[in-house]
Amino acid sequence: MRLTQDDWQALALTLRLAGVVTGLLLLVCAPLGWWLARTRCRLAGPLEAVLSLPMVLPPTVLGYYLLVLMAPQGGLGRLFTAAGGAPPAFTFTGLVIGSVIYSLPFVLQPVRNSFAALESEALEAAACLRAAPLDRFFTVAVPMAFPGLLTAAILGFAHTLGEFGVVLMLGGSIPGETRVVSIALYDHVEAMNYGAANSLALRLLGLSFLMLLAVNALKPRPGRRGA
Amino acid sequence: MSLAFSMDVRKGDFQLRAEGDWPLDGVTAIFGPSGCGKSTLLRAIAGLERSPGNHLRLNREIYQDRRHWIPPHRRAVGMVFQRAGLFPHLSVRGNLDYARRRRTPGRESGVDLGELGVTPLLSRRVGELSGGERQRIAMARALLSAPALLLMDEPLAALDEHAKTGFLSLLEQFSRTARVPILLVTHSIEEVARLADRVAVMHGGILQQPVSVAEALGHPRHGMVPPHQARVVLDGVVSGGDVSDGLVRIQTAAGALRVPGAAAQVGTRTRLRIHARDVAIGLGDVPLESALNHLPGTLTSLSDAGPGLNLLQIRCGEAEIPALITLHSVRRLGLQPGQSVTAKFKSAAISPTPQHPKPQGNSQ
Repeated sequence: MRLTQDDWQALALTLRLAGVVTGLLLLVCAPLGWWLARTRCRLAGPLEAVLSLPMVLPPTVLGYYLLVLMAPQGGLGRLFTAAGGAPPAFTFTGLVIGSVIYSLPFVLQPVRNSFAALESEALEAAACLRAAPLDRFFTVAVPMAFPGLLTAAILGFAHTLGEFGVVLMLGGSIPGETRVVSIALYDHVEAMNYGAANSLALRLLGLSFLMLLAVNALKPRPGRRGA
Repeated sequence: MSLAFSMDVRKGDFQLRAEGDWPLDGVTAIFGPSGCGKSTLLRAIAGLERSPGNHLRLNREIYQDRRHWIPPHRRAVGMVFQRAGLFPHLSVRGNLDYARRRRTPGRESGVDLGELGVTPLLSRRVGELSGGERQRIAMARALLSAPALLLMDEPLAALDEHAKTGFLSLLEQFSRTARVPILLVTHSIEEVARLADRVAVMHGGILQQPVSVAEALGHPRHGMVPPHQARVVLDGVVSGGDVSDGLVRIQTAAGALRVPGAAAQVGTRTRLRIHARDVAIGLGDVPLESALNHLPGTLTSLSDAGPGLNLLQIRCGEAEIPALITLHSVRRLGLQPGQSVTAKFKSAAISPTPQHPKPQGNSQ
């Protein structure tokens, strides 16, 4: 059940990817979810639908389009080249971009919902106590929605951890750069190395279970305290 | 202090028209049935709702007109909501500090946390508070931001009977001494009678001009009380007491009254309420009887008050006292406007006894 050096590397890379992606997603989804939860703008509905597309799209379809976009001749690829960098296809950066897009709805939805469920009177009371909108967001909305935000972060992390299709299309299997756990697992199975596959799979299973446990612990339980 | 406004809000079937330039001091109640737009008016004053075309000015500051819109956090207005709207992630002290820290520099709130019964609750968590405690803290928090006007949107409506009683007497005591003018939205006659100095009645989406609370409660024509609910509200000062009898003497605009009650300090301000149906009329010499309070006055008007009843208005001193009398008695005594009569009522029919128990820290 010991992991090889390569598998440890894949595991570390996966955790780094999931961490970076989760951080970026929170930065994007907190303001976006706040806006979606409160706006009466007509564009909000279509925008939400577009952002939720990754939920229903086959990951390989999404990965394919992203690959086209990130290739040296693609729109994003040219943008990166013009900025003095390398095209993001088959790089860690490319994986981050792909994962952010792929996991976005899984974070945005719970963030949006937990902001929408906030008691409006607390926010209005804050406004009447001279708290400006940004002040209200950080001192009332975020702390009150905190359990929901944390749940969203864990879901985003877990989702990035397990993703396969997008990563396969976008990243290939470059050790230390794009070879994440799910790819490594796939490679083991391809090579009929079931022992190695098993020890990786078990670790992922354990990790996923722990994260679900954390999400459940964050859920408000009825009767513990009336908020 | 004044509040000038002109509002015309339409939302589907709902319509609200309100216009006025009100002087603000003491407690002004806005009275009307549920769903008539009272809360909308209050929320527009706070800046929580925005309808185009409204005009609003508090003192010399324009909050809204064609060109201006001041957002709620820059208005000198405090608000107490029906459900307190406390911050559940902060302690009671944290909630109060939230207001203190954002207070306009240089403004003093002058809040007495002890008087509001908040001091024993400071280290509690919001989730552990009862409904009445929440409202007390919401009120203290709103006052700590040192508003120029305090808005209260049905602050008692969400409380159970027990908590309501406690918070109402706290509000009553507070309103007698409050330095900040209060605009109170309510659908309860009882709350108006106990708390308000003036009341503006909302009728079919239109807000009437405010009248004194005695006027609104004594005359059914203001649309606030039906004749059998008419009553007089008398603000008075304790001028003496008779410990052996358990009575206190209270000087009011209608004359001196004797009321049962614990020995209150001379000089204590209090408010008495007497229902028109508890007032009897006497003519000439009064034979021996139990009713203690006899106020000489002049009968100013008689009006129909339903089958077999008349509502009389008797001017006693500076006050007008309504009396609900059977038509039979009116004829028997030959009562006419302009006649000198005596308004009589039992001390026991006067509410309340002028004592204001301090709220206890652990009360509901």
